[in-house]
Amino acid sequence: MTALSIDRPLFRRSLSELFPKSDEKLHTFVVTTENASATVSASPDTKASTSSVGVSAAVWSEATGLFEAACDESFYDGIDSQFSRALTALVVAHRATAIQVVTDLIVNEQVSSEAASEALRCVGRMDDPFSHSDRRWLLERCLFSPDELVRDGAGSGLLALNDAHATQYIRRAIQNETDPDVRFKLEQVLARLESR
Amino acid sequence: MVTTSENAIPWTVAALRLTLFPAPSAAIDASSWWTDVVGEDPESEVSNPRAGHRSYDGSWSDGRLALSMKADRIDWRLSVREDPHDLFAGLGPLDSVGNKFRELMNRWFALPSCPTALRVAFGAILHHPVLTREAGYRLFSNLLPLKIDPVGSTDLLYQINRPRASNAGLAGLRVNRLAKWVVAIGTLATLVPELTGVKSTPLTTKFACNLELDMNTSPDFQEVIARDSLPAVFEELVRFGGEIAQLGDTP
Repeated sequence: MTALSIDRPLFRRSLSELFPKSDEKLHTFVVTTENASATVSASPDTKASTSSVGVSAAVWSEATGLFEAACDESFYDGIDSQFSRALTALVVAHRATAIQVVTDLIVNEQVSSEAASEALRCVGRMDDPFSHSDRRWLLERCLFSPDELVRDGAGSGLLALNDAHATQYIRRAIQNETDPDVRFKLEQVLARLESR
Repeated sequence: MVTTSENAIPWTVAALRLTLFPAPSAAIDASSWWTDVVGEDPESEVSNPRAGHRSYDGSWSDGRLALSMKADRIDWRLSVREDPHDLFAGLGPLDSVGNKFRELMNRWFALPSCPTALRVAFGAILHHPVLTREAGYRLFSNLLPLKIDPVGSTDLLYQINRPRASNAGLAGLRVNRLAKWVVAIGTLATLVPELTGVKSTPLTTKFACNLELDMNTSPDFQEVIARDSLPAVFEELVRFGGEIAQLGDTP
């Protein structure tokens, strides 16, 4: 047990917090658990926890890089793109963290409509039960996006996700929908999910 | 009604949290939440438009209150002011601090702009200073269904979820009652940055029993939790947390 167990689960301090740009001696304190293993913070069942998921700079950087590169790519409904394959790999590798970043980028309109729409189609197609509810939330949330391309992508994603939970939100989205093409698509998605 | 166990630990609150996961269709207008709930302007406001994060912070009661918002979650956190001379400073007993926090959150639930929720959580970090690790383990052995050897063991970490059906008026709602028990170590140290790394000289080391509570509605619940149900649900979560703090790990 040392005083510098700063990556232990309780009351973490980062080095940058502990050491601002100064060479003065610093009196500070670190509270840790006493556990010797660095892996003790791993939860046996993270589904029950509501602790905030920290997003590493590396995942953030990788995700934003993917979306930036996607600006040079063309997307076709039903055909895998280089972007969608890379996004799937990112989610498989980082699960909740990756979905968190993708959610932040899309919901806060920080990426192009085309890339967001393709990402949503891809998010719906992923076969990853661990991130299912997070992906479903993102798709349901994007039904209410101000951008019709994003709403269209959310509809495609929800069709692929094939979860009847979304029907209550699709119904509401259809009532609000101003774009006839998107409304038609959402009506089809609703019919499919209700008949499953 | 929770009966106080004679073995109960007199916990002090280090931090409390309310987390609300908004329904996908909920419109979020947080512009006046802080002032409507706290009654005055925040001391600081931080916005990260690229990540869509926004947070407010200020003094409240004897601690620090923070409101932070991300795309998929809203957190109200009350925490103790950091004090290097009191490694395990607290805000007071869970009963009184929890009730004050709950009343504060009820003001938020009463706002028409408070969103409907998919999920709600009450989190708490509780401390109780002890002289030694062994003393902490002896206290835990009264509250946990474990045979602990206080002298011959170290590195105890006990985490368990004891889900329970909710009685807050929402049919089918279940509550995760996640609790993590550890003995925490606080170290006051002199830290000197050097070219080859950091030189650390410990000055004092103190121990405390530490209980982290995460009472939350199950993600499997398929319905939206309406705004007028939030006070009852949150009251139940706080009560469940208090029960574990008082009685220990019980089904």
